[in-house]
Amino acid sequence: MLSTKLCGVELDNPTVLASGILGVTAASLARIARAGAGAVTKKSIGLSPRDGHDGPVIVEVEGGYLNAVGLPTAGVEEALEELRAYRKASGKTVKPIIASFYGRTVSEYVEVARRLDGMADLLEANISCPNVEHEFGHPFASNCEDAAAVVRAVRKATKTPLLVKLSPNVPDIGSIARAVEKAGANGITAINTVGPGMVIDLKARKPVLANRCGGMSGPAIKPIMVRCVYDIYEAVRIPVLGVGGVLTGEDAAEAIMAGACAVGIGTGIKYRGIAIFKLIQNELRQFMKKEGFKSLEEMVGVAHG
Amino acid sequence: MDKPEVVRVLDNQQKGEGIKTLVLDKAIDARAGQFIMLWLPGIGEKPFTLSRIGRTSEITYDVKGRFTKAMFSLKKGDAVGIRGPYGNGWDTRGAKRVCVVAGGIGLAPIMPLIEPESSERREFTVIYGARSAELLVFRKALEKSRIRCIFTTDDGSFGRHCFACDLLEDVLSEGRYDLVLTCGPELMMKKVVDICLERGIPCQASLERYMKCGIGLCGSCVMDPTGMRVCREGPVFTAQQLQNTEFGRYSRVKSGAKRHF
Repeated sequence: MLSTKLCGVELDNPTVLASGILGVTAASLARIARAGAGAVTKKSIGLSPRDGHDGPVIVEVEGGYLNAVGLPTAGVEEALEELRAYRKASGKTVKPIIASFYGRTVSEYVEVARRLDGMADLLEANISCPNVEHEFGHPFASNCEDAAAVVRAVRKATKTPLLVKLSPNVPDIGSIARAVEKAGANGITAINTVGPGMVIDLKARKPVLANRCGGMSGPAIKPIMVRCVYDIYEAVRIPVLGVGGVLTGEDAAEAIMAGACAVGIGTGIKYRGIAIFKLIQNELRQFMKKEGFKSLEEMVGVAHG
Repeated sequence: MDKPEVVRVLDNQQKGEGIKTLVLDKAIDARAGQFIMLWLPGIGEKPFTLSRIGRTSEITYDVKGRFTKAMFSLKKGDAVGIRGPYGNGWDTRGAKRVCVVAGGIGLAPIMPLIEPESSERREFTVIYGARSAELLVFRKALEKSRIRCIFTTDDGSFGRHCFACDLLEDVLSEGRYDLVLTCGPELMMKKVVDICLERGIPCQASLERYMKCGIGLCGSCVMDPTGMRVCREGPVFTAQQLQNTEFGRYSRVKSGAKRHF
C-alpha cells in the first residue's frame, strides 16, 4: 500500500531520512534504515575535508529550528568508505541510499559526482544550502542559469539517477525546477531550509548562531514546502521528494497530494524520536484506508486540477 | 526551548595548573552525568557535564583548545549561555556498593553523586588518579567526605604510583560491588570496562565525542557500529553497549573524519 518509486528506485514506504540529519556515518544511516525509513540520505559530501561552522549551530524558535552547521564533510574518500560500510552495516534491511553532495564551483560538483557515480542508489545535488553564502556566494539554486549549469555538468559526470535539491528562497521555484529538468535532473528534492533567519539573544546582545543566521526547518515551514511541491508538480514531469516540516502521516499525505511521491523526514526526529518513520507509516496507512486510497500512486498530485 | 539562557558567572576558581571550576548563578535541574551546552557569545558552544548540581551549578574543566582558553579568562559577572540539560546521566538505581574509577577531571560528572550534600545513600569507593598530585583537583573535597578514596598519580607525587585502572582488580577482589562507574581518558575507561565485562560486574562509562547540536539531530557524535547518539542515548553507556564498538579505538573530529586513539 505504501510502496513508491523515486526516479526508478523502489521504496517500500515513502519516508526518507532527509539530508543533514543523522547522516554523517554508515552506522547512523543503518540505524535509521532499521527504524523503518524507506530510504536514507548521506549528509552532503564535499570534495575535501571541511569542519563547518562553530557552535551554536542550532537554535529553537517558535515552530521549528534555525540551523547553520555549514556543510562539514570528511571529504569524498571517507564518504565512499561510509557508503560501502552502509551496505555491509544494513545487512538484510538494506534500504536505498541517496548521496547528497555539493561543491563550491561547477567543476567541484562534477568531480564529486564523478567519484560518487554508482556508489549510491541516487545522488542528490545540494545546490541550495543557505548557510555558506559568506564563503561560497549565492546558492546555485538562486536562479535558473546557475542551477541549470551545475546540473548539465553533473549530468555528464554520472549515470546514477540525479535528484536536485532546490531552495524555497526564490520568487519562482517552478521556473528553476523547469531549468534543472531540462538540464537533465531525474527528480527534485524540495525544499532546503527557509530564510535564513536570525535569533538575537537580548542579554548577550548578539545573534545566537555562530554563523549569525541559519535556515529554518520544522513544522512551521510545512505550508511553504507544500506550496513549493505544488508549484514544481505543475512545472515539471520528473518526480518530487517533498521535504519540510513533515511530522505526521497527514503531513505526508498533504505533501503527496501536492505532488510528492516520497517525503523527507529531518527535524521531525526531534519532536517524535527515531520512531517517527514507523509512526508516519502507520498514520498514513490509516488515513489512506479511511479516505479510500488503495495505493500511494493514486494520491500523488490529487490536489491539482 | 533548545535555546541558550544567558546566566552570570559567579566565580572561576583555579583548581590546579590548567584546571578551573566555573561557578554559574543558576540552578540547573539535572541528573548527575547529564550535560549542558555552554555558549560563549562570539567564541562558540561546547558540551560540559556538571561537577556540582545545586542552587548554583559548577563546571570543572581543563584547557584543551580555543574555547576552554576563552573560558579560562571568564570572571565574576560575565554572561554565558546554557541550554540543556541533555543526555541520560548515571543510573545507580538498586546499587548498594559502587566503585568509581576516575582519571583527571573525569571525576567531574561523578562528583554530584558523592559530594556530602548528595541524596545518594550508597557506599562508594573512589579510585581517583591524575598525572601528578596537583592535578588531583577534587582531593580536598573527597578527603572532607567520609568516602573511601584511593589516590593514584602517574608520577608518584601523591598516593599510589600507578594508573587508577590498575587498582580496580584489587578493589573488586576485596568484596562485592554492584556497580562500577568510570570517566576519564578513553583508554583508561576501556580497561575498566573490559575488567568489568570479564568479571560480570555492571559498569557504566561516560563518553566524550564531538558534539554540535547536542539534541540528537546532526549525527556528529554517533557511535560505530551501533548508531547510538552520545548526546541522546549517552553520554553514559553500559559496558554491554560499548562492547565491539569504536569505544577505545577511535572517535570523530569536527569534519566527521575518524581519529584513532
